[in-house]
Parts: sequence; structure tokens; C-alpha cells
Amino acid sequence: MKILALTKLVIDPDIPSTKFKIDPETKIQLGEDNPIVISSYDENALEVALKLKDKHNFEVTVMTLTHLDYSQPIKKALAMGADKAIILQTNQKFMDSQSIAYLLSKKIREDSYNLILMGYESADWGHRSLAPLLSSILNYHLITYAYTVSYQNEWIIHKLTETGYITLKTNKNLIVSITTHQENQPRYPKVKDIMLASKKPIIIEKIEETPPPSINIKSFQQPQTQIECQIIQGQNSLEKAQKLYQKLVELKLIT
Amino acid sequence: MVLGLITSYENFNKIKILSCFVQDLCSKTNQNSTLVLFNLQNHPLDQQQLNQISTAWNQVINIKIVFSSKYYIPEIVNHILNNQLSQIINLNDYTYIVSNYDQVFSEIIPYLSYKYNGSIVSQVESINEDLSFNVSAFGGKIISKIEPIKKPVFITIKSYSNNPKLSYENVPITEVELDLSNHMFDIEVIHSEHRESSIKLEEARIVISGGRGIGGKEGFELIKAVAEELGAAVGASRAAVDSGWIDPQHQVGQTGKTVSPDLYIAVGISGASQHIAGMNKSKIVVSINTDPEAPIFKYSHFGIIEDYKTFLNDFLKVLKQSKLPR
Repeated sequence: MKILALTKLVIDPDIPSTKFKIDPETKIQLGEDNPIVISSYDENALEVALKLKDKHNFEVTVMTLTHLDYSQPIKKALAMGADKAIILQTNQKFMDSQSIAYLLSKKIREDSYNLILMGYESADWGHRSLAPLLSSILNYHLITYAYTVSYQNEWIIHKLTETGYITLKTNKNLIVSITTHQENQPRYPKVKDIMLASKKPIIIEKIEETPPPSINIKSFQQPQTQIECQIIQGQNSLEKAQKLYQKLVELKLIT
Repeated sequence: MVLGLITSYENFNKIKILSCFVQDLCSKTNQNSTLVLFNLQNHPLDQQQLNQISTAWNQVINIKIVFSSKYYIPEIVNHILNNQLSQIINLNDYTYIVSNYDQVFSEIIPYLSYKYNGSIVSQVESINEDLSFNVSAFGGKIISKIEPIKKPVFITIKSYSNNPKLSYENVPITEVELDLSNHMFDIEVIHSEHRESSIKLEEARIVISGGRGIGGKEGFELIKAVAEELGAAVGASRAAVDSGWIDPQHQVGQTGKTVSPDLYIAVGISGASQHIAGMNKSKIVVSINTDPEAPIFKYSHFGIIEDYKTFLNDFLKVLKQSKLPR
């Protein structure tokens, strides 16, 4: 079986808010000297792929479409255990989901993957659209918001719902989007694997095509979230608890 | 025209929010609205609820669906959209197709946008007069104004705060019954279970959430005790869920639930943007943390710098004493 793990590269979402800047011209986030990382749920998806590899020795390819510096995050993906990487390099700093899905699908069609995994949503725009778009274009079945995938002559998928859990099965070619869960926390690469990673193949392809956009970013604003925080003082914890209780009663939040 | 899509699985509050949003869009575009309800037999919308929402629309199509518990819901909805709905309405008549940013429609809307070659505007929070949409991005750090270029425009709503203005009388309700129980689907449900707690997070007036600082499962027992005393729902940060201390259905954040209670109490939560995106619409935020530099205090009205166990035990004492007859 061949597994593809799609990895979106993003500017580290957990940088301090002072380092978060938007380019007034392109209206997207400026990279500056902030670290580039794999969008967090894509790392969970890669972990799901690697667990299948551990058990069944399935081949795992990672693929990314990016204008960012891929070297560190892709090195990490290979050190975690992916067999090879495909980098689609573009100059476009912003593309809508449809364009991304279209460009990725062209490359995905060149090979025959049985399972395509990716994060449920990206850390930047969070559109949740890529998996369903790719499933439409490539005619794969789709399961979203899953957390584990195993294989016993067919795919067994554990998925969260808004109120619980479901387990699904199918023997069709499948796209699964992955959300974070205790069972898919990304592994830390071992020193040996970091050394081996440098020998793994990285295929780089320049993408010149730019599909026509379906949406346009007109402007943006950074909401003012600075709230004056009143630190409740007191001799001890009990006194602080009493003061907080009084405040909340005054505000009619508790009775 | 504007088309709204909902399933009866959705939280009723969210269905009302969708109705308000569509009314706003209809008044700005001077268009009529149609609601298509996928009414699933094992979790139906009752007649009273249907009457309550139907007055917000010009036309309602209530599709009662009989199906097997082995079916995967998005597959059913997609099947109906592809095969049966075209006999009832013509999707090409609609300029805007609107749904909530929930699990089922996050899956369905991109399918439709591909089929009808439209644009997707995701996580919408409000509509501008020029018919661009404000969307939340980068974990709520920015609000981007998005202008759709291609029609039809597929919209998913993240939150919306206006109240309904219009109320129509004698709204035509088309009833359709579909029996899919003999249909063969490719994905089969082999097991399912519900983990719904008694107080729903998204409807709760008070939410108390625990994070990495809680240190383990036991910490949530204390949080649950305080929640019970306050009549609050229990939430959690991604770190606590990833550690397996509490079920993922309790997660508050970009991926988890978006809450906007009157009072939000964050216990041992540092304040990663993933979490902030799910709670920054709360009216009053109280944070309990040992680290005075924790980013969560930037989003809090009141801060307590204490070990959470000591503080919550004291707070619990105060709450219990206040209930004693004087």
C-alpha cells in the first residue's frame, strides 16, 4: 500500500503576538525570521501514516506545495520516518483552496496512492476544504475529523463526532483528514533517524501555473484583544477566592 | 436566491444563528431564501422547533430521511444532494449557499463548490455592505475581508451575533420522505457511541476549562466539582485533550468548540492561539495560573496567581458556604 501525507508549511502559529505581522500589500502573514513548521494537524496525520508504516511497512511519501523555506520542516518529516518528500515550489503567497487542490491533484495523479492523509484544518486559514476538494477531483472516498487509521484487509477508521466516536470501514481508496488525539501525537525523531533522513530522496518541482482565484482578500484587521487584567491580590488563596466570589456576585455572574 | 443547508443533528442554537445570518444576507442582496433541512430519523427536529425556525425563511424543504445506523451521515447528505435534491430544487438558481462551519458541512460544502465551480468563503463572522465577508483567520488573530469572485458563493458560518428581524407567516413547507435503508454505501459504520454531557458547552452560561497546568486526569475531578457547584459546563484545552485527560468533545478552541459564555474560567491554561480562538468571545474571563507571564492573562478580566488545586479547593469552600442558610 502507498500512503501520501500532505503537509502544509506555515509560519509557527505560536510565535508571540508582537512577531505576528501582516503584509499590507499581499494581506497575508509576513515570514520575517519566524520559524517555518508543518501545520500541526498535518503532523498528526503524518504520525497516523507512520504508524501504518511501522506495522505493515507501507510506503509513506510526504508532499507539500509551498512558497516558504521547506528545508527544516521537511527534514523533520523525513527524520520522523517518511520515505521520501515531494516539494512543489510556487511563488504564489496566497492561493485559495480550489487552486491548491487542483495543483496538488495533478501531481498526486502521477502516482497511485491507496490512502491520502492530511490535517483536518490548517493552522493559518483553517478552511477544512482541501480533503473534500481532493476527494471530488481524484474521486476518492472521504472521511474527515478522524484520529486513527488501521488496516485489516480494509481500512478501519476511528473518527470523532461532535458528541462521541464512530468507527468506519471501507476497502476503497480513501482520503482521511486527521484531528489531534492522544493516539496520534507526533513522534520525536531519534538521532539515528535524523542522520538517515539526509539520505532520503527529496524531489523538487517548480510550479509555474497559477489557477484563476475564486476569492480575493480585500483587507484585514487585527482585533484589539488587549483586556485590562485585574490580578486579584490577597494574603492567601482563601482570601483571593473570597474576593473573586464577591466580584462575580457583583457582576451578577453567579448567585 | 439564498439557500441554507442544515441537518437535524445540529445544535438548535446554531440553526437559529444560520437563520439570522441568511436574513441579513437576503436583506442586503434583496433576495429570497430557501431552507433545506436534512431531518435524520434517529435525531429529528420536532414540529415545534421546525415551526420556530421556518418563519425566518421564505420556503422550507423538510427532507425526512430513513436510513440504517450503519450509514455515515456526510455520505447520506452528499448522496441526496447529488441524486434527489435536483428533483425538488434547482441549485443553479441560488447565488449563495450557506451552512454552519460544522463537521458535516465542512465536508459537504467543498464538494458542492467543486461541482458548481463556485467560491468558498469559510468561517464567516459578518457581512459587509459591499457583500464582502469578514472571516476569522490565523486562529482568530486577524479578521480578513474576503470578496468572492466566482458564483455561486458557498459560505460556512463560524459565529454571528445579530438578532432575527423578519418573521414570515404561512411559509410553504415541502415535506419529502426518503427511504435510503436499502441503499448500499461504500463506507460502513461498525461502531458508534455518544459521550454527551448533561450541560452542553456551546449553550452554557458558565464554562470552566482545564489545560496542561492541571497535570492529570485527577485535576478534572476538581474542575468538575466546581462546575457542578456553578452549574457550569466543563471545557479543556488541546493540551489536556491530547494528554488523554478528558474526552475530545470537551475541547474548546479553533478545532474544538467555540463558546461565548457570560463567564469563562481558564484553569492552568497558558493561552495558545488555538485555544483563544474558541473562547475570546466570552464576556468575562477569569484565569488561574501560577505563571504571571502566561499569555492567557492578556485575554482575561481577572487573574489569580495561585496553584490551581489550592485555589479551587478554597473557591469551592466559598461557594459551598454561600449556599448555607444564614
